[in-house]
Parts: sequence; structure tokens; C-alpha cells
Amino acid sequence: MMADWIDILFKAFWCGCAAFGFAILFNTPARALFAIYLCGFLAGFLKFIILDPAVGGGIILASAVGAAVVGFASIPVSHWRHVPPIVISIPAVIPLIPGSFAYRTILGLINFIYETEVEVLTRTVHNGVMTLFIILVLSLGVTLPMLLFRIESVKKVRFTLPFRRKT
Amino acid sequence: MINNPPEESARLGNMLLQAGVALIKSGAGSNRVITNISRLASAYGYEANIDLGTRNISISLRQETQEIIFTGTQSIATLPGANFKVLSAISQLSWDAAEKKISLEESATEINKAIDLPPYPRPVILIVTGIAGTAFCYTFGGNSFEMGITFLATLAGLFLKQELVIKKFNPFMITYGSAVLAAVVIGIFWKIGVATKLEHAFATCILFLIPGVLLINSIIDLMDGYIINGIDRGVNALMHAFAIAAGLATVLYIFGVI
Repeated sequence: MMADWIDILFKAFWCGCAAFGFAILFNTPARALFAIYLCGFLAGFLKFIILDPAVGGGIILASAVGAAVVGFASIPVSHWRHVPPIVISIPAVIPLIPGSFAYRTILGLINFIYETEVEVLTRTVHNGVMTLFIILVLSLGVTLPMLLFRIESVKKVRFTLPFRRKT
Repeated sequence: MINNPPEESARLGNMLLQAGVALIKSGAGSNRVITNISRLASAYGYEANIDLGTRNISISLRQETQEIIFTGTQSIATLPGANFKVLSAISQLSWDAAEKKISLEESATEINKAIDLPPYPRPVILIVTGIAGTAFCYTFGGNSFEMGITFLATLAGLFLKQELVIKKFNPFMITYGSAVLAAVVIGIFWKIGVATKLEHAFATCILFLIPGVLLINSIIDLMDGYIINGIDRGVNALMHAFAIAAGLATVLYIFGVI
């Protein structure tokens, strides 16, 4: 059990590094870099905890939770670092991109040139569908806070109670 | 100000066009461009009506009492990339203009300064992106040897990409070429037989090319109701993804990895 935790922390550490690298690639202001590292770490940490056999969530659920948490975290963080929220959230979810599923889809498609068995086709389509759905939940997870709060700017987030009297 | 409105509106209009083009180029979603430009315009007492594509922007300015007093259009030749320094600086400026009431001249110089913000030094970008590739390799389950060659492959691929961007090649060909080079680096290591199984290295060496900004902006635009722009960005991202896949497939096919 202890070894699992160390493994998860290691993976989360490297997820943070990947987020940091993409932040530099996208020319992010220096004041936001550390916050992006933390968000990437958080995304990886949650993803690999949910993927852990003891928790037993699937890869799609894990990616969705990771992306949604980054999406929500990006609102206070962007306020703190004075940058727009997408500057934080886009590099932070990039470590969750399903690279190996995409690779296996390509591999399967090439394989299908030689082997015309049903099994190759089903495996390839399965990998393709997984890639598609994971990318979809990543994008939706990041945009979720914007959709829920119906806001045009993070500076205008207000919480109000229902049935309030009109003033 | 009131004595000479045409001149002021023209200066504001041109400044807004400049800011809008900079925002589009640096990878802002449609809604963000429109809110930022409208906020800047209303800070100086104008109402802005904006028509926005992914490669062009038209702005009409008007004041409450008058007819339309400025109309301008600007388009860009290249497809938009990502530059979050410019994005943050202009977003910040639009708030400063709205809250602190800074003058038009100051805003114009701020925007010029924002556009000229220097990128990180090229070696830093290369090395840090290489480390990002290594990180991907680890999280996908690669061993330390695979991590090392992924670093080299990412370095080579990104270097080629930067060179081709300077030489103004077609963006999809740039993506294809960089993917081929990155995969070839791994392929050579596979061919000389240092390791028999490099699946993780092949899968992760091309990940620095993924169009993350386009993909997420596409969904944001679709959700905000800018359907045309969303589809435009989505198709753009898909073509990049296809170029990456084609590059990888070419190398796998030639080297006979499968």
C-alpha cells in the first residue's frame, strides 16, 4: 500500500513537470508557472488515485474528475495570479491527454492493412473511442465552471440564494 | 474630447483592432476576445459591436448619442498559435482601463508593449519541453531508457518545428514533419537494437505537438454558441491530430515496428 502511494506521488510529480513544460511552450507569464505546476500535480494525483485498483474508477472517470477539478481550481488561482483562467487550465490538463490510446489506435489501423480479423477491428475501434471520449471529457471538464456559473469573467462570480427578494 | 470626437474614435478603433488581432493570434476563445474588446471600448465611453472569425475581426464603434462613428476590419495571414503572455497582458489592461481610468495613449503604449513581450529563450523552451516529453513517458509507464530517448526525440522534433515556423511552412506540414523526425529518432534506437520494446517512447515522443489550445477553445466556443468558430477550431485541431498520426504511421510503416 505504501509503495502505491509513492508511485502515485511520483506520477503526479511528473504530471506537474509536463504541465510546466507546456506552460513554457505556450509562453505563459512567469508569475503563473508555479500555480500551473501545482494544478498539473493535482490533476495527475487525482487521476492516478481514481485509477488505483483499490478505488477502481475507469480511465474516463479519472480524466473527467482531474479535468473538472483543474477547471474549478483555475478560478481562484487565476484570481490569485492575475491571469485569465484558461491560461492555468489548458497546460494543467495536457498531462491527462490519452497518448497511448491514440498510439494504439494508429497501430491498430496500420495492422488492419495486413490482418482483416474482427478482433483487430474491435480493438482498434475501442481504442479510438476511448481516445475520443477522454479528449471530450477533458475539454468539458475544463469548461464546466464557466458553464455552471454562467459567468463572463472570474471577477463577477456571485453566489445568491433562491427566492431572494428583488431589490 | 467632445470637441474632436472623430479623431479620438479612430484612434480607439485602431487600438481595439490591434488588441483584437493580438488576442486572436495568442489563442483566446471567441467569447474572451469579444468581452475584452467590449470592456476596453466601454471604458472610454463607446459601445463596440464585433464580428469575429478565427482569422479576422471587424469592429464598429458608436456612442449613445451618435450614429456609427468608426468601422474597421483586420485580418491575419497565419493560423492562430498560443501566446499566453499577450493574452494575460491584454486581459489585465482591459480591467485596468475599466477600473483605473487610464488614458488612451497609455493604453495604446501598453498594448504595443504587450505585443512585443519577449518569449522565453529558445534553449529553455527546448529543454523544458523535452522534460515534459520525459514526464509523459513516465506517466504512461515507460522505463528510464525510454524516458531518455523520448527527451532526445522531443528535442529534435521541437527544434525542427521552430526552424520550419521561422521559414513559414504550412502549419500542417510542420506538424507532420516534426512528428516524422521525432518518431525517426526513436525508430533509430529501435533499429540498432538497444531495446526491443519501445512502445511508450513511440507513443509519447510526438505528444509535444498536440493542439491542446485549439481542442479546448473549440469546445469552449461551441458551448458559448460561436458554432462556426468552434467548428473551425475543431477541424483545425483534427487536421493537426491527423498530421501527427500520419507522421507516426509513416515511420512505423517504414521501420516495420509492427
